[in-house]
Parts: sequence; structure tokens; C-alpha cells
Amino acid sequence: MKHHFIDRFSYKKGFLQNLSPSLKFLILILLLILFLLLPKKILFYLPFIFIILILIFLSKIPLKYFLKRILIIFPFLVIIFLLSILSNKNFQNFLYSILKSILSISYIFLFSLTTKMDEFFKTFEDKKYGKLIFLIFSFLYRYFFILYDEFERIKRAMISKGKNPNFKEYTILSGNIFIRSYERSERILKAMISKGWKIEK
Amino acid sequence: MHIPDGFLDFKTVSGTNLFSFLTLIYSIKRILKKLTPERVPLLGIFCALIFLIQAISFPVPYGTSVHLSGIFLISLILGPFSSFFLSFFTLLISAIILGHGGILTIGANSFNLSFIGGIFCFYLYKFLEKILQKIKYFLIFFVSFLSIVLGSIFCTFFLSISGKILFSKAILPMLFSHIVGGIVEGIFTCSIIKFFEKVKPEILKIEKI
Repeated sequence: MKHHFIDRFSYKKGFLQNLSPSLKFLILILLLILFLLLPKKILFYLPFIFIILILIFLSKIPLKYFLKRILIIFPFLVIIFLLSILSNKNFQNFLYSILKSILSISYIFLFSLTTKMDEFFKTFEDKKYGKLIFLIFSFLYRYFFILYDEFERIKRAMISKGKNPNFKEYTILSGNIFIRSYERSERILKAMISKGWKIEK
Repeated sequence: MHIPDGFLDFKTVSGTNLFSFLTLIYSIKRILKKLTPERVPLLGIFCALIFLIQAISFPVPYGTSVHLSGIFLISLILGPFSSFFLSFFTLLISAIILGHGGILTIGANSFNLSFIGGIFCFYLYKFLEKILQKIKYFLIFFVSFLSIVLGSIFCTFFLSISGKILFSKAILPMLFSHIVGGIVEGIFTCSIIKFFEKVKPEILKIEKI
């Protein structure tokens, strides 16, 4: 089993880790709206870059790791950049969009790296419709890695039996994963009911 | 394609988010109205499954790979509104944790992927199925292909009304880059449905909400 653990920094004791997840999310949304409305002058952006560097330091996240995570956005930027060149649009305008995009993703990552995701979704629990969201999230959080392991196991078995993992094999593999998940959901239901779980209307 | 934060302007962001959130609330209401105990773990595990399908890179001839969306497939299994709800949720999670897409652009992204793939394409398929029953598998392929291509057209449209690109110049490269993905998605959906009919037909008999 080899997983990239998503919330390993959220257990450290830092400044952002101590704040409540719902407050952090609210501030994040407000910041993202603010970035959307920022005028196109570099002076307005510098304070936010400075703030994020301080927050990374206070939250004890390795800077190198953080920068590596941000690199994930670059393929998207390259595609939109190429499309923008084709359209002969204002280049300076485009650079500010890139800056906004990188700032937004940095703050989103800062939120996701310093928040325990189960705690964050628990805040939805007492809201209207929140129970369903919390329930689905708990399933996703628990079973994604299990399904991924199952996928890896079937793939390994296929390769060891001499099958080349091409497109056709991958579809059979995915079909198998679907069927196993369906059967697993039946088993989970039985386990949930035997532990006293009921649907609340 | 997932649009990252920062590329859409205020009017596009607010319009698409309003539309998507209203659809989301309606979907949740529809799901809760007919929610049975069997459906809860099913919804949960299929949510993890969408996440998994989107995480796997499928090998395609000529050495490249694509990742699938699987949203139309889920709507064929669980129904349009469940599919919209689950894919909206996976979009939100992948925006927060993986950085694919954005939080404010979730309205636009969920319109391109979840609404088109889950709700619009499902009803289009149901409509076409009544008229053209004989070519069912081709229809599944075609609608699945359409879900990806229409999504890319709307993606270009949203980027162009935000003033980032010109629709007339960007639409062709965008379409070309998504046609391969669309064909792969179509073949995938079609073969999975065939596989279910052969191996486990009851999976296709789940109530569609």
C-alpha cells in the first residue's frame, strides 16, 4: 500500500491548524472573491504573497513541498496560455489571471494542508442537507483508498497472469471494480444495520 | 477540462454558481425524497468510485493516456440527480485537496461536467432511446462522446465570455483535444454497460433518481 496522505500536516501544532475549519473556509471564500475583484496592479498582489509566506512558516509546512504541490496547476495554465495566444488577447491581462490563479490555489492548498478533512465536513452535519453531505464524504474518505488498493491488486494479478494492461483489459478491470463496489455496498449496509444505523427523515 | 480559479470574471462566476447551487439543492431534495437504506452506502461507494475512475490514467494508442469522467455512466446506473450530486461533490473535493479546478469556478466546472454529463445527457439518451431502440449501444457511445465534447464547448464559452480567449479561435483546438477523450469515454461506457448486462444485470436495475 502506497498512499499520498492528504492531511499529514494537519496534525502538526501550528497557527492555522488551531483555527476552526469553518472559520478558515469562510475566510478562504472571502479571499477568493477578493482576488477575483482585485485591480490589475502588481502592488495589490504583493501583500497577499507576503502573507502566504508568513502563514506557511507559522503553520510549519515545508516550503519546498508547498511549491511542489502548486506545480499541479501548470498544465492547465499552459493550455489556457496556448488558447490565449491563438486568440491574440491582451498578454498583460493574461499574466494577471495567472497570478490570481496561483494565489487562489496557494490559499486553497494552505487550507487543505492545515485542516483535518473529517472535522471540516463534520461542521456541515447540523446544517440543512448537511447530513447527506457528511455521510457521503465519510464514505469517500474511507473507501477511496480501499478501492484504489483493490484496483492495484486486480491489476497486479492481471499482469502476473501475463496480460498486457491495454485499454480493453482496463475496461474489464474497471467493470470488475464496479461490481465489487456494488457487492461491497451490500455488505456495508448489512454491517451498518447490524450496528443499529437507521435513516433519519 | 477543469477551469482553475482566477480565469473567470465576476459575472460568469456568480451566474454559473447560482445555477449549479440551485440544481444541487434540487438534486439533494430529489435524492432525500426517495432515499432508502440500500441507497446510502451505494451513493457513498459510487462517489469513491467516480474519484477512482478520474484518478486512473487509461492507456490510449500512440503512447498517451487520458483520464475518464464516468459521470454519464454513473447517471445510467444511479440516475441523473444522484450523478449530478456525486460529481459535484467529487469536483469540490478534488478542488480542495488535489487542486484540480477551483472553488469559485465550481459552478462553471459542475455545469460543464456534472450538469451536461449527468442530467442533460441522461435525458437526451432516454429521449433518443425511445426512438432508436435498435442501436442502443451506439447511442450510449454517442451520448457519452457528446457529454465530453459539449463540456469542452461550454468550457471555451465560459472562458471567452470572461474575456480570456476568443471563442471562434479557441474552439477548434479545444474540440480536437477533447475528441480523443470523448471517443475513449464512449467506448468505455459502452463496454462497461455490456459487461454489466453479461455479468451482473441487477446493477442496471437500481432505481434511477
